[in-house]
Amino acid sequence: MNSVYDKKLSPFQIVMLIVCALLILITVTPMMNIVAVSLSGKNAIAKGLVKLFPREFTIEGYKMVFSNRNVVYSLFFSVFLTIGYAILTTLMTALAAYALSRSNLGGRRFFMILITITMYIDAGLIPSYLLVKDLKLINTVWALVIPGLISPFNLIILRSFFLGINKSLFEAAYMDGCGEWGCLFRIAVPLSMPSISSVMLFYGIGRWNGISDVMYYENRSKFYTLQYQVKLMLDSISIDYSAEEMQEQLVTPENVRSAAIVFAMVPMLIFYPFVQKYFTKGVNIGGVKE
Amino acid sequence: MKKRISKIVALFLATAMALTGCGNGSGNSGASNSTSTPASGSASTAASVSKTDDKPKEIVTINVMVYDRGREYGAGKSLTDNVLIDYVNEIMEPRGVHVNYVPVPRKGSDAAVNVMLVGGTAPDIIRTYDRQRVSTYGAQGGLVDLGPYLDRLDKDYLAKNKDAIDWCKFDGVQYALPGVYSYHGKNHETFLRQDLVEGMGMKMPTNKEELIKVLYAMKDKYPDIIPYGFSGKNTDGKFTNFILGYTSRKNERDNYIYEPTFTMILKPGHKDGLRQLNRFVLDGIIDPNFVTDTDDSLYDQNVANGKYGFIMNGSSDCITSAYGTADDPNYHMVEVDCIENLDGSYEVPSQDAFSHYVYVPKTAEDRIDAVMEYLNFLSTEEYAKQVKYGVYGYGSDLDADGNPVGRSRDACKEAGTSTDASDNAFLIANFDFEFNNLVKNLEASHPEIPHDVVVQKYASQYSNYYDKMLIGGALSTDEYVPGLQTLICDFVFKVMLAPEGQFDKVYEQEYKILVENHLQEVLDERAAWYDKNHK
Repeated sequence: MNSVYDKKLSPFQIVMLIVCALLILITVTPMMNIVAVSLSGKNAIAKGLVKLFPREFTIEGYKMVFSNRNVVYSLFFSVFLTIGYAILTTLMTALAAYALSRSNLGGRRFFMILITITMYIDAGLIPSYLLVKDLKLINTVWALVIPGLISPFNLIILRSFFLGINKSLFEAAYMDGCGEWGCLFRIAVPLSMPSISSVMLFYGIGRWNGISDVMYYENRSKFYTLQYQVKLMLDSISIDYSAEEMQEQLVTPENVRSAAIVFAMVPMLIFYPFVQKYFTKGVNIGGVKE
Repeated sequence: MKKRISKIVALFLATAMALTGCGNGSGNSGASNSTSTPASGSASTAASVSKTDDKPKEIVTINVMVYDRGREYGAGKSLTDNVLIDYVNEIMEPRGVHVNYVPVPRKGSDAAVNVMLVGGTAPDIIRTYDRQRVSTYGAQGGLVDLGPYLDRLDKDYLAKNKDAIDWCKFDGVQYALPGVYSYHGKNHETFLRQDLVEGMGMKMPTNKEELIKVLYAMKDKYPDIIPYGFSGKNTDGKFTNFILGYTSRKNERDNYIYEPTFTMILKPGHKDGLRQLNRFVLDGIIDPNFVTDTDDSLYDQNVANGKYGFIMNGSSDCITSAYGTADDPNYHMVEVDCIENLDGSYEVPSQDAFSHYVYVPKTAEDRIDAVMEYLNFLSTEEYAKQVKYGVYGYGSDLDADGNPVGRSRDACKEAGTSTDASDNAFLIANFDFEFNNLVKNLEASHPEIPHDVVVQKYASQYSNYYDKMLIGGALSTDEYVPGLQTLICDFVFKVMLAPEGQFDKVYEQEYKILVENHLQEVLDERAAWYDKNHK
């Protein structure tokens, strides 16, 4: 029996494979360099000897990052904030998307237009700041949650998915005594798990990488996310140690900087492969309405 | 299903809340500007600082910006609650002022403060390195005129820094105060490989002509060495002093017209300096590919490898780094003064006479007495030393002369004091006694650098310099200057890269671009200012 691997590749496929391989190379090479620098000695880094593999192997950079309690605290805070945020935002988005997918909702076209407009017109930083300040959210964890509770883009994906579910399923549920809540949580949500997972991933990645709202809305370190904490470290790193320490230092700013980047990158690298299959599937299905 | 989701959401948010202590509880906030009596602790809007005997009637809370560098604190302390702030309040509370620190990220601090200013949540005392920003905020009516309150500052600070304080006036209004240096030296330094020069049987150069001969000889004798270290990073350190060697300071009017900012390198005579740099590129004295190294990464590597024979730069990495990394055991890079100006002097521009600007936004006007009380504290040298050195006994110890010696970063951390305490010494950036310790400190931190190199470095760095002439006020064309600074660097690079025989053509073409970007307007307005104020 012939498998797909036995088929002869067309010239177009070969070109595409080469392009994809190059893209992978372009993506992976800087990451390898960052990892190599994070594990290399200071002289090798200063002299530009580190390319894709560590030279004068050392883990001093990681020791410095891990020994910073602020960074470790921010890691835990970020993990919990990201998970809580992803669940809450997905729930809110699903509620809105379900309502807007029901044909018996009056004015849903008006609401959809209103929501879509916000995708293209952004009020900007200062009005957003004034709003968050007037809601008394500055220096609270809610400043990192409430402004992003529903993303129009994700709402449209979920709504499209809900619209694609066969209406007869909902009719059968109504016949069996389900209300709207029952239809949402017993019919729509279970059938939409790929889309919901991908939306949750969008929210999670957005929150994990988000820096600007932390920078503007929070000035207490307990609300600093890992990415922001790493940014502060990277911006300020100088390794200006005292006389005795300078002689003993085995690291350079580049070393610590790279270790911090790897440290912030790893949780997402571990998490991503597990949900990646839902990610593509969800977006594909959500984007098509029968 | 619904219950399960609710439970999961509740669990994670509860954990995040628990980690953070939830909402907007105690501690400082950019938005909080309260006054309270020590007895009741109740809020009041009154803001005068009044005292009866030693005890103030009320304590006014002010918020002061502090750079957040993401550092870790030991002993259960933090950036906003540490030994330093405790010390500050120990002094300030009897004076009727309670100080809160408001963290602002070190990088992007101006942008963050800008948003806070608009939102009315900005700290009451702010620092910036951006003169244009102070000018703009002041012109928009956003800053307090500190002129009427100057007499509340320490008398020594006022007496020693009159010029710097005047330089913080914008159209005659004191919108800022300077963070002053007690001493300052050259902005950019010059280094030469003495071992290579002597290896060729030549003497260390004492003027441009001799320097040029040395550089060409290096190229012939040492094929692995790049005679003149250069990069394409958009900054002026690697060429300014060389080009200025083809200009003069004899004409005061020209000094006022050109010396503020990067326009300095456009003084009459600069074209000859550029022509020489162009010749260096054409002859391989400067690597013709320098322009691709826009972030100094290759330059830094070459410095670390001891690949350059001659360097002009704001950084002394060729001494502080390369003595430990250069492969050549004979590596002997020393600081030199070998570029004479057209007027015969060897003077080069100093770093700015002060470090930064400190301003008070209008939102703090009702607390101005408390604000000035704190600025008085910071302007008093003895207190400023305590602040800069993280409080004696915590961030530093006193030496035999009674001067503070900073403790290591780890020791500061363990003691619960600020590891970047100097960020908080807003009005005095350095002290006279520190100057005497420069050699000792560098030798202690870099024992691999030969003693004569260290001595020569500071002898050279703190001699043969001049303070640039500056315009004492805001000009309408100031807005063009930041953009021009970038363009002037581009101009220099492009002219340096002119092909053989096309220098004049490229020069005219590129200079025209500067003029199109308001260069002439900037120079004309400065000339008019000089004619009005100095003629």
